[in-house]
Amino acid sequence: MTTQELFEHLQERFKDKIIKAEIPVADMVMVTIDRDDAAAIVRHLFHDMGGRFVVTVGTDGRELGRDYLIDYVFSFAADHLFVTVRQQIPEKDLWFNSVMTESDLPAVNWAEREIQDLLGIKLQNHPDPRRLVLSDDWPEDLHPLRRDVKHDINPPSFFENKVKMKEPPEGSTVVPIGPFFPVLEEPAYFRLFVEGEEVVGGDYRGFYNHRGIEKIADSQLNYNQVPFLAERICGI
Amino acid sequence: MLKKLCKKAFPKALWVYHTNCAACNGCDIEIINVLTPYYDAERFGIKLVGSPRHADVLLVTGGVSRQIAPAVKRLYNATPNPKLVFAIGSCACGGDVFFDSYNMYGAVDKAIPVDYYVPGCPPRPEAILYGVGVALGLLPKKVSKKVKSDFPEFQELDEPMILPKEH
Ligand code: SF4
Repeated sequence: MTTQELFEHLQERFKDKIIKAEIPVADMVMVTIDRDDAAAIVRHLFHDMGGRFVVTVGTDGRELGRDYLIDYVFSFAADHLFVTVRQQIPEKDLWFNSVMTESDLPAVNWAEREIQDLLGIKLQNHPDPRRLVLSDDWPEDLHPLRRDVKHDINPPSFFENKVKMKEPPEGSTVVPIGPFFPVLEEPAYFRLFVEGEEVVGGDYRGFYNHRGIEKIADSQLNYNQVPFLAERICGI
Repeated sequence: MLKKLCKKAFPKALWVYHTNCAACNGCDIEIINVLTPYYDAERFGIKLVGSPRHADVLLVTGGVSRQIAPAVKRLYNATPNPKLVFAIGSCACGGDVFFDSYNMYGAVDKAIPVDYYVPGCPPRPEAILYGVGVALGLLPKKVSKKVKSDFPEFQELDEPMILPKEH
């Protein structure tokens, strides 16, 4: 499969849904699609064509005269191809549809919740739209990765929207682990629901060491300084 | 004062609890390194324990993020007195590159009292051992407090330096 073939295939298959399709670089097809139709094309790329889900990225493109952008990137490793499914979210009407249940792709769970946290684009039809990245005492309506928010902003604590952990199923016992635990490499909080010796479920609250690295790189450092910061993301 | 207290309170083996607040794991790897047979901290009687309630010493790595700050305070209170707190790494000592980031509460000494600082990003295992040795009174301090008048040769630099003109 070549880029051109994939391009034509997608255009033919989703003729009436694609707003714009282009080949920005030789090995990438980029399709822009309405936020209501994203799930269908994601499902086709992932389940029917066997693409590998790489990443979901949210971008604040307002300074560039665009809207908020959400990209789902898929790769076809055998053909050295990438497909980016792009949605444009207008600033006046900030919401997007989760593709998690509709296109049966559980891997997007955290990525979509992260976009909701950091860019403030409301997530809809998500089975678990709780806060993921920001701390428990962070105010609801402040989204640090937006371009007009300062990197060193320090809002007062606001505990009203503390993340609610899941209720354990009937008849099970909760075993809390964390946030400090000798075998954990970083602080994280697990709640295991156990029945006898069997673990029947669990819940997780992580991102205790969210340090705002993206924001520092985005607003404080230049291109050549970012590797200095990148070395400090993970020491292992 | 602290040294005397150390001598009195920790005459034998030190039990250490290691916590990672919001570190990148670089410092934690170096702490693990200290405990390997190569550096062998156990010959000083230093032992890692699994619960803060058993510990004499807290080794804290990483700056304190907003999310972890209440937990660190609880951890400090759970450790029995007398206790020593070591801040290991630049993040723990002063915040490193993340010092003014939006999700950081601050360096460790903003959340809990710190007794010894071991800077470095990450500090070498020797540096960590040295810090513990100083705390135990095994070693003299390498850096004592110096003021400017201790260095007569730098006095004249108080004048603004005049750089030679370029030709
Ligand atoms: S001081 Fe350096 S190595 Fe240690 S936690 Fe901070 S960034 Fe990582």
